[in-house]
Amino acid sequence: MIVFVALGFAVSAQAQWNSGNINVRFSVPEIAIVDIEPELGYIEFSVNAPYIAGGEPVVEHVSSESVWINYTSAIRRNGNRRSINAQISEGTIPDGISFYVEASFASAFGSINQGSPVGRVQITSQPHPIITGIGSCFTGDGVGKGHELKYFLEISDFSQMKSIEDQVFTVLYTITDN
Amino acid sequence: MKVTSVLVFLLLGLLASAQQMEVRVDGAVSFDGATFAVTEAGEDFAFGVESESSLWISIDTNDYWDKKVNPNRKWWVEVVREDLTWNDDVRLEIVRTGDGYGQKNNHKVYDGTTYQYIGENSWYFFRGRGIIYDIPIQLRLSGLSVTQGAQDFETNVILTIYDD
Repeated sequence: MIVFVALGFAVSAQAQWNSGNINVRFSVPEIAIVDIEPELGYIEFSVNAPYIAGGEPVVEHVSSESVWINYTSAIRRNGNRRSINAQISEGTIPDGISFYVEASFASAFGSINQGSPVGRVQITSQPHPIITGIGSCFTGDGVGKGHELKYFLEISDFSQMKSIEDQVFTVLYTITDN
Repeated sequence: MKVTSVLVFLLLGLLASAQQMEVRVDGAVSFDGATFAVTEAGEDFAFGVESESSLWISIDTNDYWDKKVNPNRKWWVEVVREDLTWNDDVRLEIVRTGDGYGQKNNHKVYDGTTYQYIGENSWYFFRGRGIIYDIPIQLRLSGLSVTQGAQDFETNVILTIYDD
């Protein structure tokens, strides 16, 4: 009987084990950054005299580069989706002139949950959404990634127009929680 | 004589049962928070994130007789993940980056020197012989994306030692 018990101990020794534990914990923060590509600095329009007497002034888009907006966004589960707003942050738009921007649909590059363009939006000193419904996503970085931005300058009230020197104003893009 | 033999055998059995090898973890895993930042708008996180090298495993026994009588005991270590808050798209991997040291020259350690996935099923990690202290290990994260959203992750990596 004693021998049998001793054997039991010896056999059980082959299966002894013990564990150690590593706790792994980290957080992915909320992220919201936006950028314009390329970093060209200026979009240029000129308003010229009409070709014929009595005609309307001619608006010409001088710069021809393609401008794109890139963004990366990480929101909490069940958090509000985000928008990109545009507004004039510096300078003023000359009287009688209206300025518009239109974002294209997102390029094929990038992830799911990119935003949707609102369409053509008039830009003023107040923020206006141009892209909405942005979830946790990335567009890719650079020209051809994200949404292409097209700018339009129109004469909205000819009677208010005056001859002026070069007029510079800045469009500010901000990604915000809805 | 017969009684003496039985008693000796019983004693050996008790000694064997006391040979409890244990795996001990020192240090803490740390993933640099800056790694989860995106520097350029439009980009996703970098592919893989390594932990800082501040984790060590020691294979030891608290049993005095075990250290004296059986210093060459063979063992192997398995690894498994027990999630608290996790995302299945995120891969956690482990690697042994050194051999540690022993009090005598009879210790050996093998395998585990390339990154391997830590899953929810226990899997062989590395094996060795004898008592070894401070085997450095490192963890690596991959599969993280901003598309998974802002969230907290927590899991326990369980290292279990078995007698070989």
